[in-house]
Amino acid sequence: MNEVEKNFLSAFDKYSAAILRHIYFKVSNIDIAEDLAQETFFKTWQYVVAGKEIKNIKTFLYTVAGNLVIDHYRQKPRAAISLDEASQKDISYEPKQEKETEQKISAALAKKYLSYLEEEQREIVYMRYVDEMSIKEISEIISKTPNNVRVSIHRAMKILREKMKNV
Amino acid sequence: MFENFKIKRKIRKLKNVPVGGQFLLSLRNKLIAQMNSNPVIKKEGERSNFIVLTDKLKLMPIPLIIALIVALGGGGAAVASQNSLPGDTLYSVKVLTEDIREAVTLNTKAKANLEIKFANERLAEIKKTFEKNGAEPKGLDVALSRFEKHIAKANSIIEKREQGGEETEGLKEKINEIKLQKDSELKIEAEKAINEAKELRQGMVGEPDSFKQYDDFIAKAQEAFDQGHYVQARQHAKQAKDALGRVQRNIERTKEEIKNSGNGKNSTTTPEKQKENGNKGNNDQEE
Repeated sequence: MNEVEKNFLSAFDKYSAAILRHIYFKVSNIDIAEDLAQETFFKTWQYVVAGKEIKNIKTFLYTVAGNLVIDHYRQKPRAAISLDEASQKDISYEPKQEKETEQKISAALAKKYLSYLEEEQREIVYMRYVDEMSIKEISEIISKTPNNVRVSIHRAMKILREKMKNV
Repeated sequence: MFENFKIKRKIRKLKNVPVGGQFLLSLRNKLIAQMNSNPVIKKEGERSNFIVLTDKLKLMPIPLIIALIVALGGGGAAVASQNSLPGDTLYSVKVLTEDIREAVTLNTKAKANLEIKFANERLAEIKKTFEKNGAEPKGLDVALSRFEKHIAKANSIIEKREQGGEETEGLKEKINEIKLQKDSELKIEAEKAINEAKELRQGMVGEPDSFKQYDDFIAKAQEAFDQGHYVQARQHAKQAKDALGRVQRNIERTKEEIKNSGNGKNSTTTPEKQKENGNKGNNDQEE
């Protein structure tokens, strides 16, 4: 195994779980999420093989994953499913242990909480606090300025604070 | 501020979404197989930006990889994979276990011996692949290319040992021996394919021009064989054999049609038609 292959695998080891979770957050279907995660890494490898330049493997992987999710929805219109249904779906597939069930429920509730935000805000907040990305990394992935990202996060937090008061 | 903290804590619960460990392990193996079948070819001294930037990433510790494989039931898969052949589902697991063994072997002589051992394993796969798949061995390219990689790595270690004034003779002998074995195996298979193609060709009756394309394939196969390029020789012979096989099947079908159409009175099948069928074989080949 050469240096490029080793580095690519180490990137896989470091980011694959987060990428899969990120895609799953967007598509709410574990099978589709797994397919798209696989495609993300295969497409990125093809890019590496073609000798093209990758400045930051982390943001590159998230960008590819994001584009694949968009392509997925373009090919197949989003199923008419409410967020409540999506939350149910999240916790519907047979949990093995009680702890896992609790984790899924809390994740589904967090997802529902984020549903108060607009799509872009939701994605930015997810990247900032779940994927733990820097403002600069997020701005690269969504092709906005760092200042735009900061403002979006600020506005999103304001909305979420309001919602929290009302709950 | 406290509210913000509570919000962030709530959002971070999304990290609890369980993502498939087994799926990720399987994807990792698929990725390794993809890398083997589609490797990066770099020019001497070239260093891509990807490498520079990912140099910062630390490799996953080997014990952690092993623990992961065992924890996720991959230990059994690793054992079961040892008899797999290129193209089999478990082959990537076999390659992964070899990569791990390679990574944890530090002594240069032991490492060279390990590469030779792996090359021997590839040779065994080549033999089994021929036996299992006959004239159309799937995965042969993968086994051959990996064989060459192991030999190149072993040679590179030997070179370094020589520079350091260390003993290398035993290793060189082993490498020469295994290379001869591989050539001998490929030679037998190439010769077999050429003879089969020639035999098929001899069974064909018709205008020599109609069979020029196949004769050319056979001539190319023979030429490559004489020059010691056994892989190419076998490929050319296989092309000839496949195309001649199609022609033969067309002729058989035509004969059957004549027979079924009642002494051939109503049949449009003629010797010309038979020749046309032969040409159809040509067209198939061109396609």
